[in-house]
Amino acid sequence: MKTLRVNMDRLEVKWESVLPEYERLGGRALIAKILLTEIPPQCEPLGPDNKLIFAPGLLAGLPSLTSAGRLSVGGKSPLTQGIKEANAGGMAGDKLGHLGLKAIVVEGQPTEGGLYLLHVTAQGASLLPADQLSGLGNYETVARLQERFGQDVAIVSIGPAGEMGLAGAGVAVTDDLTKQPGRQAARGGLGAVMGSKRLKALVIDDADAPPLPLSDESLFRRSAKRFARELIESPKTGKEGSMHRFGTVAVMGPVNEIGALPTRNFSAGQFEGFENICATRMREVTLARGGQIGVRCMAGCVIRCCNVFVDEQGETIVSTLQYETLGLLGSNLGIDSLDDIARLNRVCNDLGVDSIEMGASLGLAMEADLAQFGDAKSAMALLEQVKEGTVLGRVLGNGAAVTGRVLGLERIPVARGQAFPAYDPRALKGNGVTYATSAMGADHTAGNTIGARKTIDPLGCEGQAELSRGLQRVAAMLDMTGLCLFARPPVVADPQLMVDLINGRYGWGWTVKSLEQAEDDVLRTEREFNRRAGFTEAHDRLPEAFSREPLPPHNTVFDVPDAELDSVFSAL
Amino acid sequence: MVEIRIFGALWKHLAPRLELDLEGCNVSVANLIAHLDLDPSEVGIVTVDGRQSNLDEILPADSRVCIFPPMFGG
Repeated sequence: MKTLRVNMDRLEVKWESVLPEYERLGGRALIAKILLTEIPPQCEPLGPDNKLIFAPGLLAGLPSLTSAGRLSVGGKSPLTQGIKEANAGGMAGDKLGHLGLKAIVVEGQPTEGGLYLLHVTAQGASLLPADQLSGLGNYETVARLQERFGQDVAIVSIGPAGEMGLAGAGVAVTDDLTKQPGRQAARGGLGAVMGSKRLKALVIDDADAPPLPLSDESLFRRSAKRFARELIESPKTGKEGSMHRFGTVAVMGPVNEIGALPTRNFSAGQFEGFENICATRMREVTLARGGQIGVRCMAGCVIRCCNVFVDEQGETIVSTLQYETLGLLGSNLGIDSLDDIARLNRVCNDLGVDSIEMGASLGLAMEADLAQFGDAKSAMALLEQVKEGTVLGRVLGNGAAVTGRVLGLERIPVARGQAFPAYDPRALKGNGVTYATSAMGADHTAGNTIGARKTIDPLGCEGQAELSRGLQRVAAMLDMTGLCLFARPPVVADPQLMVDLINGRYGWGWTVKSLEQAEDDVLRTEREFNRRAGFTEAHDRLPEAFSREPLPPHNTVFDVPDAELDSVFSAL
Repeated sequence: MVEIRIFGALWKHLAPRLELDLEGCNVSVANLIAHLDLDPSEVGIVTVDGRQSNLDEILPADSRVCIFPPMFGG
């Protein structure tokens, strides 16, 4: 395995052997360790001392293993001012893994300006001028790069939002089926960090790379086969399961029913327009128009939870339209048209902004009467301002916390500066615990409690800290190995299966205890980075408005005691 | 009358909306799932009047029950 260091001061690339202390780390775990070791935690996120890291998981690049090719992107976040890892499906993670790359670490900033792309192949890597891509959206950027480098490469890119340094900017990744930049390592403003390095895109070509070695081929292949079989047979992830038939939007039903669906800037938990944007409706509309359901984002994925959402003429609007986007750009804005939400999503993807963060910003703008709830045309006009870089557009593009403060609002749905995903923490208190305590800020993928345990009442406080802690550990395990969140049932039910996959690949002789230790190390390392960056337990709280303002229909507030929140990490 | 709503992949077994008269029957959520002939492993969250329920919860008359297949958030 190798590490590719990209020095943007000198515009040089350098291949390195993997340092011993990084050898057994991958994805999110490696990012945490590199950031803690190599950057000053109090550095300016968009300054030269921050580093931007692209790291596939430990199990990436192996065609015989399904659903393990997610790409982790990391750095110090301009949105949260803390450590950040965001990951995406698509083609890039597996291709970097196949190339034997542990990580690409981008350092420094060019002194002369200019814009660059990094071309990585089995033969080497080079930085190429990319001024001709300046200001282009992700879709046009990808189209031009595919014209130049072919359709089989993976492309990681930023849009204008990243070039402008907006804290809501994400990093786009092309997917396996449509080859479009529809997968996003969206959260935390890492697109702005990439823009600050003047890096417009990565082009990753793994043609001619040899297969990765397996330490114990028999163990690995047996374990990979069992893993795939269990996913295929699972009622959650199999062909008859909700993920395949409906995709992530399947969760909207229970979230709306328990009253946790963000509605009109988190002022209610049930949306009267739910039936128009729910899973059933989306499936009906998509299939009737000739769109696709059950689409994969990574080669060989057996879950295939994505979709291609098309207009009435059958032309693709966006792929994939996900639950979080439907929540934040839909119900949270009072918009109940799938077409309108899909078009807003497309513009977000093209601009290269996180649809969660933008949905929360737009919800606040509507609360402040800059547009009316339900008015998709005005929401689109506000997004256009982000694209044009007007003052208001820059406010919105810098995220919900900035937008809420500028507009003088009180109910600002953020934790650690990052917008809440589509689960109101007053009706799903376990997620509130995760939002408050995760080093990532409000991030559902850091420990999502919806449906996780039937014995814990989402409206109550009991058991939420312990539940969140357990799920945060699971998330750490998935994010260090590159596994998709939805591929977790087999390895959660039997962690030895994950251990066997790792030992089959590397021969490290890990045990379940080693795996648990590795999970805890990720969380501790991230926590330590944030401590050195200036965070204390006082930051592990949600905004006061969510403890004071009852959420209809259950009229509950977020009231998990501070001691419970503090116990999440003190018990680690 | 108990209003029952069935979601997503469970439609292969049942219609999306049902009504059952359970007045005075002392029926639990688990009893209802058995009565509907649903495989418990194919059932995820069940809500009663908008609150996540336990399997042993007794259904009030005139309640609204939603039965969801297993699923993830994300």
